[in-house]
Amino acid sequence: MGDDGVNITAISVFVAFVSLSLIITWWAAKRTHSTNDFYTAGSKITGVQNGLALAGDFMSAATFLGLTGLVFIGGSDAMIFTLGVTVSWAFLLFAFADRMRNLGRYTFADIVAYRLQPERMRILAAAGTLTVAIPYLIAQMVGAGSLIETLFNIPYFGAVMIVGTLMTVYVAFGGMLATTWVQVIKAVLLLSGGTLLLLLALSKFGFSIDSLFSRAADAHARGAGIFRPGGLYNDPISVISLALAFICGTAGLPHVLMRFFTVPDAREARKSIGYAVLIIGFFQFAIVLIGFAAIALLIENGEFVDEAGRISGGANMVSVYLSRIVGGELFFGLISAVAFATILAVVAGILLSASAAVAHDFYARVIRRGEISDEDEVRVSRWATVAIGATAIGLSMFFKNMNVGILSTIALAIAASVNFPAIFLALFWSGLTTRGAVAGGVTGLVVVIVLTILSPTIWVSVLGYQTAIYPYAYPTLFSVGAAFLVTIVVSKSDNSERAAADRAAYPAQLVRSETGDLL
Amino acid sequence: MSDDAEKLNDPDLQQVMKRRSLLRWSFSGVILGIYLLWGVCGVYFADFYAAPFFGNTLPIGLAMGFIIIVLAMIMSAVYVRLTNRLTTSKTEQSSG
Repeated sequence: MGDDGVNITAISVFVAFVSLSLIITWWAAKRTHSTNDFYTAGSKITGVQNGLALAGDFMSAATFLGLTGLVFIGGSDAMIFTLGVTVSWAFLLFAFADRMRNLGRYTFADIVAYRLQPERMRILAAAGTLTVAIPYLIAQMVGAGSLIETLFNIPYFGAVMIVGTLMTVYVAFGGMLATTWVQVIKAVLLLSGGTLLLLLALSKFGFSIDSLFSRAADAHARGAGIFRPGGLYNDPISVISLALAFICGTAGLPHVLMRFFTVPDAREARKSIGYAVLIIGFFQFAIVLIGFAAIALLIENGEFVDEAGRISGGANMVSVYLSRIVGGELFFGLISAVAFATILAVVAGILLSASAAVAHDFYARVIRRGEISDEDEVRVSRWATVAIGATAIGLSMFFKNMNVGILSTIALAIAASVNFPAIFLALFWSGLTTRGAVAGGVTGLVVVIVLTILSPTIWVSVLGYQTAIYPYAYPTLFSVGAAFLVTIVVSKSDNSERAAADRAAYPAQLVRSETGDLL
Repeated sequence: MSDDAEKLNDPDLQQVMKRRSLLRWSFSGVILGIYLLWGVCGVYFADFYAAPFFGNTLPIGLAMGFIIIVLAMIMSAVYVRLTNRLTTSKTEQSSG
């Protein structure tokens, strides 16, 4: 792969990014003293900054590299993913932004614990955070390791160590302030790099969308069949399950929800997610066009494609190879470095949410029952960060050959099935009780894991059985449905004293969620 | 806490909450409804989705997808304007 010239551009851009991010971390570390600083950057981030950081959180390697690869494989079918991403963020804005901001301080556990039994809800939320964050973290790091191995010729072990160490340094020293700025810089880099890639690719078609799509159809083995939906999914239940994974999953991702608390109030929270929708929408638009341009140019070029039409190094490499065809070695190096920076910024955000779940929700609130000084809690958070970072590095070595797509799908499905029902019902249903929320969360987790194992992705692809017991690719329709059903039934039949207190506290929570701190 | 609950009787707050709730669920319902409808229809009308859009090679299904992305972006901008204007000094802290 590539000669020394390629590596020099990629490595210099990457070294520049890492140096800048370490300077930011050093600057942020001097400003990070309290738990408020560590978890939420003192709630002083502006709407625009947070919008970029939120968009950056979601524009992970999975979306930039994975979705362009998916367009390459699935043609029009990939649109349900790109559209799902955009729509789910709009839904997050419409339904949750203001109430989440007004009720929470550090983590989404604040919302579910607001009126329910705090210790039990924090344990549930911390478990919900870790079961999402750990697979997500491993998925990104395994992806990063393989990507860096291919691009920079650094061995997998070394690549994972570099990513793991840098993310731990950012979070442990710089907390949310450093994590946010690293994310903002990366978002700007990725947006400019992506836009440039799109423009350069379009210039190969004389900026004619018509010529882009006709050449893609001419080049592809399936011809105009790539425009016909149904290759990746062909039944309504799979489509709805997939859509629900995005809609409910995005609203259940702990590192995304945590960003709600970095802005001063509900107005800024709405504004920041509004910006995030604009940025993400634009980026998804670009991804579809880049994907189809890759179909035309990569297959016509032939250099990176084998006889069966498969991409060497996997479909995730599509946008990186495209950058080489349209922009030469220099641009190829730039995009490679941006892809690396993207992963680095995303894993830092996930790591911070995991360490907040362990140090704040579990240790400070449940074990110490809130009897802990601010200083001690920040210290515990930093050590938790180091411990989780080291665990993630270790697990990534172990899961080297795990399919990254499966891991991140499982993480999103768990977020949808465990975290989302509890948050949604805590915010909008006065009848929710502690017992109901816990029962629903456990149900969601069990159903999502069982169905994923029985589904074609694991039962057939990994375990090698002939046919899957659960025929649909995504478990979310049934797992989210079961979680909601159990939560509601158990809450309704709950006659305990605690349940009465849970219900009675709803009006006060409602006022707070609509007004914030002022009243 | 009970002080907070009593504020629910405030007619100003009640009105803001009613409007906010209307915006919240109508915007959510519209965008989620369109997305799910578009997705499920793709299963049944695959040939129509693959047909060219206005004589171009851009297929209809993708063109609709692009339109829905733009719609989500426009709706988000409108939603932020409407809800942030709804805010009164009494019902929500102002920024800054």
